Amino acid sequence: MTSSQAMKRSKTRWIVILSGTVVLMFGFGYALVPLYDLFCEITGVGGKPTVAVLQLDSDENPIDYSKEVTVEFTATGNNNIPWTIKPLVKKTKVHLGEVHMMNYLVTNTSSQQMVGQAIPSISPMQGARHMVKLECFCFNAQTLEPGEAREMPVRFYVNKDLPDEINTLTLSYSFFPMNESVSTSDNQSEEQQSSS
Amino acid sequence: MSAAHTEAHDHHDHRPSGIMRWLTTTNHKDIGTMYLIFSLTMFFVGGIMALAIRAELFQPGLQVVNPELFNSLTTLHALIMIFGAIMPGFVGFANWLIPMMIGAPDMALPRMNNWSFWILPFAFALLLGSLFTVGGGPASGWTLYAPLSVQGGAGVDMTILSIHMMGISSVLGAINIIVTIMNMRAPGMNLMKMPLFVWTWLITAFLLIAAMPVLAGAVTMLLTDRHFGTAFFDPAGGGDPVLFQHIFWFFGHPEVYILILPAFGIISQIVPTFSRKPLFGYDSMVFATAGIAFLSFIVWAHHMFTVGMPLAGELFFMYATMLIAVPTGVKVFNWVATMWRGSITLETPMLFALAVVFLFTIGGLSGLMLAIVPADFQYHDTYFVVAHFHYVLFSGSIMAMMGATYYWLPKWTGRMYSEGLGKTHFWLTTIFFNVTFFPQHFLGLAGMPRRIPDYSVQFTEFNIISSIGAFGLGLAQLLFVYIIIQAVRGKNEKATAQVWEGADGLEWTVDSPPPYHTFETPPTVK
Repeated sequence: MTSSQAMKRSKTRWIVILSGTVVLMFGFGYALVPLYDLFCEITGVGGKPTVAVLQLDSDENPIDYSKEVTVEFTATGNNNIPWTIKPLVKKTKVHLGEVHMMNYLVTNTSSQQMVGQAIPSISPMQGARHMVKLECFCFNAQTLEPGEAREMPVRFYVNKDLPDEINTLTLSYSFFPMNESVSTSDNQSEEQQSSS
Repeated sequence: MSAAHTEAHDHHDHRPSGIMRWLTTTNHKDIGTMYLIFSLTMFFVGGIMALAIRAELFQPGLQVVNPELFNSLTTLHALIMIFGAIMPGFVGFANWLIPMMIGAPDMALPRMNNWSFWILPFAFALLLGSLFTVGGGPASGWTLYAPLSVQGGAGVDMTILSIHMMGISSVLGAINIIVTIMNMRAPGMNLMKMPLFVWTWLITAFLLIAAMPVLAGAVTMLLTDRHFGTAFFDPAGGGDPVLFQHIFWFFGHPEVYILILPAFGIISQIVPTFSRKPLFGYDSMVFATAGIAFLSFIVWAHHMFTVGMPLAGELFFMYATMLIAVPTGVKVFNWVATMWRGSITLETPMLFALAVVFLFTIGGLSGLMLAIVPADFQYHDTYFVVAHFHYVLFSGSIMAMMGATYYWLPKWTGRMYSEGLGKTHFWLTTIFFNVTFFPQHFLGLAGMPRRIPDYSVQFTEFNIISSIGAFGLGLAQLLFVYIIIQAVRGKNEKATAQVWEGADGLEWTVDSPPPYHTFETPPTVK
């Protein structure tokens, strides 16, 4: 009798261990989300630029006049957002470390007030973490009145650690609609909310 | 089927008759039978979808199905074959054989066993039902990549829920198998005396427990992205579609070993029997299996070399992937060494086992080609990949299960199958399999993309050959069903308890067919 009780206890122990592992692995799937973000942030593979909060003093950050890099600007509207987004210059040459500012002209072509969020992406991805932004319209959601056109600035520099083989960086923005008013019933992905 | 008929001779047992017996049964043999019949049914459902795909690809242009349905068919064919045919098939073998191989009276958790099975018909009714919704079935490929799978109608939601149900079923099955093996072995049977089929299933069950919940997490995120305003995979909300691929393949790569390890176990049972020699290198087989299982968790990103990974990542995943060839090579070596100087006879199970060793190795080699990063950029998403995984899944898992069916069918039914028909089935299957899939290597190398209903005209000849092979392969399986029914109906020659001259193991010590309850008093293993 005791051996059958021992077996019962052992079975229960295994069931508990294994069920626990199942719950743990389900959680691990979710844990991959922040781990992935962290990994992308460290390596820059997500194409997300570095954000600098402080304006760097020019003494600490002397400009390297020996190398110029071409920065190209582009933008698109996503999920049928009725906005036109145009960079005022298509490309420019900057020295490494040199702070540069340029504007995008964003126009709301619809007849209602809309909120949009720009998501930046930089290619090639190896250059992403060397593109440092001091100011960007993508830091916040942007509200545009019906028919309103506004110039939206971005201020950045390319830091001196940029690998030698990279001569061109492309900065691209996708604007996503943030408010429900533009959602169509069959497109759920327009209901925006932060995942983190 | 008529397993009910044969077991009706078992007088001393009281159980409900008719449909209630099958709904309420907790007997591992009954549940094993149900799993195997379910698996065979799904094999034909998925097979018919494959034939519709091959009919469409018989010539360039669009003839048979519209592109939306074509996409649904490729998606459902994969989901049904993986989760409906291969996995339940192996669980069926596990149910029938593990208790008999380790000398246990039944599975450790018999009621849960019943429940694991009965979830499946509902899961697949839901999955197949998705075809009849507005917007059709899932059309994103079985990998359900976001953002495509974030779009789509109710069919995608039904797919997600059915994947949840399949996941619950296989996790419960896996828990049951581990608890059984860990607690119910006959006295004297220590872990390193277990038959290799039991070992491979033990390791597979651990893989299931570690991998399936991750898939459940991934599809749950998909579901909340679709309906509850989260943005795991939507860049607008700060998510990333590539993240889905990482989570999916973290599950997906262990999954491919879940689909093959029990087949390795089956081969390791069949080859020694018909070579009349013990398995060569038993210990190294166990460690190789464990090694493959471990490596399967650190190679997932080789499925996504083209998403834009750092070079260091690509190198890591390339080398880790190639490392898997080492334990796999150990296994192939051991099978060949088992046959070395054995007195080999070529009954149908042995023919299937030999074909698996040979053809699976071809699939393994094309897998090594795909692991090479610069080469993969060319092969990615072409028919070369399709050829590769059919060589490991059809001529690996499915043909191993066919061999296993011939091997253990006399034990289960008490009757021999028809050897002549069995060999005919083997040759038809092997020839048509190669006619179907070997040309797909060439198509892939020439650049034909997968999952597209149309193709440019230079691919026509190979596609014609492939489609002809597919219809031959499909028709040959009707013979398989006929052979099984013939054996089950009990018209053939009676099988002895040992069935095969060289068979060794506890399941061959009980009568053929075995009584409804076996090993109520545990045997002693020396």
